[in-house]
Amino acid sequence: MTTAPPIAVEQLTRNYDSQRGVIDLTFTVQPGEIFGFLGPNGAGKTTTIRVLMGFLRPTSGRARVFGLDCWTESTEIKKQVGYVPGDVRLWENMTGVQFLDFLGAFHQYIDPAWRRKLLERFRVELDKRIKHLSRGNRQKLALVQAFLHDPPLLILDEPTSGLDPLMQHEFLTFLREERDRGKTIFLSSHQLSEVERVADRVGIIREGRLVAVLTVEELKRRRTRPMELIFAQPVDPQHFADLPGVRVLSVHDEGRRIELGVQNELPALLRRLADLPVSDMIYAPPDLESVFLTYYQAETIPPAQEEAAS
Amino acid sequence: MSWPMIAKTLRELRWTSFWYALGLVIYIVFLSSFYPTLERQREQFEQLFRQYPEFLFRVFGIDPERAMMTSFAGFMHAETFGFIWPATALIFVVLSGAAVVAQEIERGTAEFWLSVPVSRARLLLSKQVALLTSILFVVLPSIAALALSAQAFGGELTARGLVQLTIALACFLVSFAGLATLASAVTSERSKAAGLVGGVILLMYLAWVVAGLTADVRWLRYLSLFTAYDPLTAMLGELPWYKPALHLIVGLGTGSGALVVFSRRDIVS
Repeated sequence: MTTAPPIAVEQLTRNYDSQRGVIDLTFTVQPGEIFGFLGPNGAGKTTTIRVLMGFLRPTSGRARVFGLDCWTESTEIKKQVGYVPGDVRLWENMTGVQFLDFLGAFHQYIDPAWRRKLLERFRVELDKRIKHLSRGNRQKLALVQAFLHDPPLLILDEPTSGLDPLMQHEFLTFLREERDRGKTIFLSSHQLSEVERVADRVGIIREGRLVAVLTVEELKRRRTRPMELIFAQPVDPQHFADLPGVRVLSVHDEGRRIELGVQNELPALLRRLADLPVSDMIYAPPDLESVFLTYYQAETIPPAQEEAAS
Repeated sequence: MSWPMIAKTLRELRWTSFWYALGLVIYIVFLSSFYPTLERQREQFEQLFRQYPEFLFRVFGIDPERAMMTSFAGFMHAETFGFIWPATALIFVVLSGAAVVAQEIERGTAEFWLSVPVSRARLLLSKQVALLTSILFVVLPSIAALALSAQAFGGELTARGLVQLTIALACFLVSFAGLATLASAVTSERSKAAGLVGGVILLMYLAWVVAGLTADVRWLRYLSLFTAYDPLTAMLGELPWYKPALHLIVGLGTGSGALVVFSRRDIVS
């Protein structure tokens, strides 16, 4: 068994002719962890994954899976990887069972009991032609094929897109079970809640650059959630200046409407608000923007760095 | 080679190759049925044909300097294997060859296709092998139909002629199949790949036709794969070996080029 990390990316840059790709990414995914790769659409998540899968050649830097080079040794890598692309498009004229049989035929052994278990768990429609399947059912088929040969590493690009909420929940539970079985999972997503529910560590990417790599606990502690306050009378924003973890983002209507950035420091803020003429309050659930509020106050993008021990 | 890949590609091509093969068989049998009538009135037909301009014959792949209607082979060459058969079979080969890579990228299935633990070169080679098999599915029924028609309608064809025709037709199609897979490996859209090869075929055909019309530009024939396409000589059992060999070399060369290009290119759906 190899001792190399499941994924090791070093100063990876991939340019396109006319578009930005990814710039100078460095991160490592450790065995047995779920690594969430978080970023908005177009941030570079799929480009990174395509490099890992050997679909794209790096412009510079290196990407390795289990110590193997992702471009020159991708055939060997794929024996150990289950993959779901971000845009699941299947061979339309195949039935579900033909699709699974076809992709399964490239692997040395598929455990029939494991296959049965996957099919029962995800309730996949096998007999219909793929062109007659709904988007959710196609996605389930793609997920099943990724796990079919029971690989030690899963690379999943937005794997829950198209799934209904119940199936999303079921799938995330399944991912945790697989992690507990020792699997390593690299999961890209633009949904913070999804990543927070399953990931052990998170890499945050925006505009092609890795902003941070940190544990989910650290992420929760650091994210800045926007709070919009409506007051009956104008309020001086200086009321919030001394509160730890609270930042005034904007002031409107001479202080009748104030937007704050709150970093998990709610008790002191609530005590302060009790003394003010609050008439309404909107405290948005955490989303990707709440993470970026922490990291993007400055116009310039800070260099990528690992903030948590890998 | 990857057997699952070959099997999948053959399954995808089976109906297309079946309909092309059937259409060509029907055409061959239908045309052959006119041969007895032609044979009875050969002299009148020859006189009639001699009045047509040479250009007309050249355009349809017929060399008027060679015997045209004096044998079953000459008749079938003029009516079928000179123009209609290769044109029809080329449509099949170009469209199928252009699909091997470009269609997977265009339809977004390339990421699943390339996620399997088999090298790109082996995956594409498997598709090429399936395409070659499909070419035989198209060629062999035509040869069988020709042999049966010759017997039924009084034509004379030797076994040697039939074997040489099989080789000539198959190698001719292989050369363009190689070009089509190369175009497919370079582009990301099937229509672009097919259009590119279609353009090359048209230019080669024009070069061959023009080269036959005037001695001043006879050198143009060296630019065309049609120059080495000689089904009449093949049917007569006198096909020079270098003609199919040239087609085969071009087919294998461009097919190998496709493997190299595909192994090195980026895949972006």
